[in-house]
Amino acid sequence: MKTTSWIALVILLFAGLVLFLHLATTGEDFSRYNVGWTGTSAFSATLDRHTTNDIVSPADLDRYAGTTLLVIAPDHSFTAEEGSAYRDFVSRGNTLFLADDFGTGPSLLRAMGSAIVLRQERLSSLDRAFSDPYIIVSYPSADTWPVKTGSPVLLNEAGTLEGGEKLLESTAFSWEDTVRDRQLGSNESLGRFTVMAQEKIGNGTLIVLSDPSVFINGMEDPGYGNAAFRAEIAKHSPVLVDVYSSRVGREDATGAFIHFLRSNTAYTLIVAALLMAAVLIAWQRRIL
Amino acid sequence: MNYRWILLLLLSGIAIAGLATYSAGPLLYSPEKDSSASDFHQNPAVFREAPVASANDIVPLMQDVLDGQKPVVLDIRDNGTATIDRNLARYDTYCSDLQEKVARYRLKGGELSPFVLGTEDQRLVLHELARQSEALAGLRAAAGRIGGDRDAAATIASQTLAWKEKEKILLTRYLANSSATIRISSKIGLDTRSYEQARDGISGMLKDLETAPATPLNLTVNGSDRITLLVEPAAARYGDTVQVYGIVTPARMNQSVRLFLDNAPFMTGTTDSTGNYYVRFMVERIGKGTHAVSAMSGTLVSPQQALVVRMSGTTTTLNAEPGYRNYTETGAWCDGTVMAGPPVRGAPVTLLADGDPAMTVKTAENGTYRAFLPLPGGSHTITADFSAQGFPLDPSSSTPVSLIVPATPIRLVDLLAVAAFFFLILGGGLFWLVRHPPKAAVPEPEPGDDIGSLLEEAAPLSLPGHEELPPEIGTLYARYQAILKEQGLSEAARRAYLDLAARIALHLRLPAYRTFTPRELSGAASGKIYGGIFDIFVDSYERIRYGGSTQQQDKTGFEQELKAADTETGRRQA
Repeated sequence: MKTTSWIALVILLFAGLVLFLHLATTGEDFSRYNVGWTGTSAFSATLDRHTTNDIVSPADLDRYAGTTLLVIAPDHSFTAEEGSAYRDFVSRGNTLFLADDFGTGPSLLRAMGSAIVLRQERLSSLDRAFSDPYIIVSYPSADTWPVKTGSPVLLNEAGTLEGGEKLLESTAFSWEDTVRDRQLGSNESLGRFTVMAQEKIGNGTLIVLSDPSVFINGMEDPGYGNAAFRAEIAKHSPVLVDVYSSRVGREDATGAFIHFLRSNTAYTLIVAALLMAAVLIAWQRRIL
Repeated sequence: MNYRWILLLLLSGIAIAGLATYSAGPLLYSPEKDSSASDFHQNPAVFREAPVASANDIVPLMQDVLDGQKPVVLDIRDNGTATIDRNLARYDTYCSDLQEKVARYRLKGGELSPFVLGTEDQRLVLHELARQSEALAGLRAAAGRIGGDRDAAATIASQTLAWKEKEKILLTRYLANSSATIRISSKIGLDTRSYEQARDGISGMLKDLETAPATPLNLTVNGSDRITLLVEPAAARYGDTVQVYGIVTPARMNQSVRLFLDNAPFMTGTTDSTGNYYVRFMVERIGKGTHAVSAMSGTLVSPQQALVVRMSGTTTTLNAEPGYRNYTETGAWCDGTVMAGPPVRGAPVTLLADGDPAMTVKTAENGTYRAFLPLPGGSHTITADFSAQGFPLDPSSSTPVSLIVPATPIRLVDLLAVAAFFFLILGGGLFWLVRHPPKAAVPEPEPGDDIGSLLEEAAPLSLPGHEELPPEIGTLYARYQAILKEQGLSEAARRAYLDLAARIALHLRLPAYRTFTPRELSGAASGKIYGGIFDIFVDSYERIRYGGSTQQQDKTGFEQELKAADTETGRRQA
């Protein structure tokens, strides 16, 4: 093979690799950098850039009052000290919105001393959207932010809650699928299960939703009241996004690299200069 | 080195990388095609076309199952035999619909399992109670006409006692499922008032049975080793149910009892622990008149009882429409019923076409029949005739139906055969043409013809390996050498290019080739056997002619490529 062919092959492979890295969407679940159906990029894009801040450490919480902190799908085990920081944050009049099903949400609730208990069993229901019993319809129990009566919310593999003041609950034809076989088993019982509850702590409010998947791109607008529900939370500014404990801020190595390149101004200039140089050379050589 | 290709590829690479890196969103991604799984959620996009389920699919059915029991229970309690079958059939439908939905949505567990199983068991109990109600009604009717027949009296007393004992068991079994059913229904939010009334009705029936004074039972029959027989009713018509009761003494469980009609065996039964036996049958293919019924168990034979079967009238109907079968066969689609009050099932119906028997069909369970009667085109009169042979029924015929059967349509198979033949011929011709393409006619050069002038301009063929021959031989290379000496490299290259161009234009039939740039002509020759070498030749030619190169390296390269192009185009032209 000629030298020119080898060079062309290498360039094509490189270009293909870059394209693949960009189009690979099976990245971190719940990550705001993940544009696939499991990411939260669409929801993150709806947050107001001017009033939204990241919380990279519990110590950052001291500075805020009157805000809404989003803790979506945490995967960090919380210590008692961290729990106190979050509890103090809420007591000062802030709102903590915790959305979790099978993550470390229970440890945060325990560390905060909350009366709400998150049960990590998959909630199934006959009242389902699509053909999957895990994608269920839940109905508001009260007209309390962020839900409105008459506007059901679709959940995707939700857990269940005990304690607190009910805000959202499943229908009577629901059950905890303890054996995870997608059917009502002999040891499983029908009933209404709470999927969102709130608790007053000091001057603030702790709201727990037992399903963070309502924020993923795949659930952006599946019908029902999900779009309005997400919009209601996004516009409740000022919003703080917990990237310390949450999967929202997570990136894999590839994603981090691409994100770095995208957000680096110097790199932008270099690429622009390269493109311009290439055009000039092509013009001089009468290729263009 | 062909730097232009490298530059082009480099540009492409940079452009793709830049696009991929700065693009705001995915270009080729769609969630519907993303089959990647997640531990945290399902991809709703892949379920988009699937049906949606709801509690509304189940709750109304559960309510029907609850509410459907009350009319059945009231029928049983009030001996409403006229409506009990209809209400039971409706209740069977409710239960089967619910069970089908529960299975479809995979809900056979939790509270639904005891609900479905409980109501299903109650359905079976209600069927048993309905049958028992009918049997007791028969015994009451028989008691009014037996006179002083001691065997019949003993049979009625024993059977009544046995049926009431069974009834107690059934009522208790029904009530055992009630509490769980009410509890589950209340939890789900169903209205249990109707169901509770049904339960209270059953409860009242049980209480009446338990508080009823014990009837002294005289089971004395005429003799110690006997079999009794009681047929109720004594006279019946087509579709009536006939019940047969009896006792075998001494009593033994599961003794076989054979029943005979006019001395021919036609049914069997078995005894319970008290020696009672019971069978029932429907009057269907039993001729009119008086028939002798008897029972036998082992060596014991009962006295014969008379069963009078009376005649009933029938009505036969017919609807007929002209039509086709299999798109080709002409005739009439015939349907109708044979009714004797109740539907006559399994009845042979003869279809007569213009008075002649044409075919015979049998009625279904609901007394209906349907058949296609083949008929030639034209006017016909069809009649349905029920002869009633073997039935205790009067024969009947339908009203004649006149119709006009259209002529035989064009047969589809014929159309297909013609089409197949046509495509066979067409396909064969095309195949032959593909395998034997017509040879292109070579036009004769004519005065003034551009192609002819091309031939004149085209250089004679070279002789590969003999480039040293003098110019008069006329090879491309020789002409090039001659012009090179006299007019220099640039003009020699131009003349060599024109010679080659004329030769290629002749092959490609391009009279206007002089309006082409070298690169355009190279593009036109792309794909030909000489296309590659001509393309390289054009590169060298452009360096000399347009780039003004006089370097020995370019000159040598040009001459080598000229020889190669000369050889390739000459070979092609030859």
